[in-house]
Amino acid sequence: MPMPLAPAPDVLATIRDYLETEILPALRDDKWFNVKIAINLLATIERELRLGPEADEHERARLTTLLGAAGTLEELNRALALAIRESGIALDDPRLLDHLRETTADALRINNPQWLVR
Amino acid sequence: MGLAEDLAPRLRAAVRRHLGAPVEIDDLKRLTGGATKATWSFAARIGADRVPLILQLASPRPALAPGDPLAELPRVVGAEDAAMMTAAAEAGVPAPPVRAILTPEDGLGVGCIMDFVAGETIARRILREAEFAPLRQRFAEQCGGILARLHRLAPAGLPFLRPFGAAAQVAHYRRAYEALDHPQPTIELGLRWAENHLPQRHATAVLHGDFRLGNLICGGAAIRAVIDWELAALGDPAQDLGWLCVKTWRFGGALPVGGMAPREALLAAYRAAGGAAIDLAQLRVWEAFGSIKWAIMCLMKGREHRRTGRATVEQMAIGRRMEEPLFDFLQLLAGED
Repeated sequence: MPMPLAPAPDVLATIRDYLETEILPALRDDKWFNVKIAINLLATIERELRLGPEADEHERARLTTLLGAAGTLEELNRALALAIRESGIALDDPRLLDHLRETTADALRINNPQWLVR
Repeated sequence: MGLAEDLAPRLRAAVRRHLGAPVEIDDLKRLTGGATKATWSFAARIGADRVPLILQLASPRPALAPGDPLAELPRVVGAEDAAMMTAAAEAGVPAPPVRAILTPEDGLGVGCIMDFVAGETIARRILREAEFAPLRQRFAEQCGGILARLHRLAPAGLPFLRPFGAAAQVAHYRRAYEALDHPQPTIELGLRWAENHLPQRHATAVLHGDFRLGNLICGGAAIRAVIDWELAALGDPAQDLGWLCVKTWRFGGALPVGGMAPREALLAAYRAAGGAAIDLAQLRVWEAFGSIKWAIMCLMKGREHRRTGRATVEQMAIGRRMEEPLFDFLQLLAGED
């Protein structure tokens, strides 16, 4: 792909801004509601494009240490889920709890940063 | 049943049939329409009177694959929903008075017609606007009283209610989660934790099942009606109190009980109104499990398009809310509010 003139998050931000200032004010009821939700989702995807790769990298590094195994993010999460289900890891292991808190907080920085500041 | 124009003639005929008088209807408006039901408001002109009414229709359940965990969820609709609301009202719980239960000849589907109860359901307004200040002062007291009266109802009169105690619930939500095959370590932890901490034995009472802001029609000083009885079931009374305190249902309010009051105020009011003694630890266990339940519901919503083949922005947005209750659950585990 040739070098894009504007990075994807900036394109999304432009679309979001247009919907918010030019389209939303003319809508009512469920159309207003759904476009409002769509605007919020665009902002989420912008954050995901900016923050997602680093968050995934950190999550994978923590999982690799915790499980002592390598794999894709999905494989590692599947393995950890199974370990929790089958008592392969203590439920109160502080390393587990720290990992889950960090992973959840990183996801919230993308999906709803406001949730962390309350 | 979508458009008002399609609905109006049948609704007029149904109101005539059930209310037994020549009637015209007007002002038919859709209030909410979700995956499981639709609510319409309208006015019936009966002689010289103009009566504001609500039509509630249950959507037919989508065809579910055999063994689909959704098929096990309690779902109180139509005549059962009406019987539940009537029994609740007789027990002193504010509930919308039911005027008629729809019959097949109405051609409207499953549902009922009830009185319109004026008031506010939007949490943000109830939590912030000045006119609701007196209600906010008395919110925990009112909820404690309402739940104590509801939980005293004799289950024998409501034979359609399904037992849905602690063990059955965790098992249900585990199956629903596992059926999605989308491994989430924090949900796994939450389910294991719930299996270890929810009570093995508990009292059984008639539960509302979704008692929280959004399902309470509020006036300035009082809760006027408890609505949305679809998830009513028989279970641990502490569940209804815990659900009300789940952080998601505080809608940004600072305090645990619907964002408005400390937990102790709810427990004391419940006890004072004749409810059983419930301690903070019991309440928090249900609150923590409530967060896990809501996380699984978000996950289900976020994946619903794979089941139905139809994606909506709202489903996508709810799916993206899954980490909110997971974060809250981990906070509760760490001993934070």
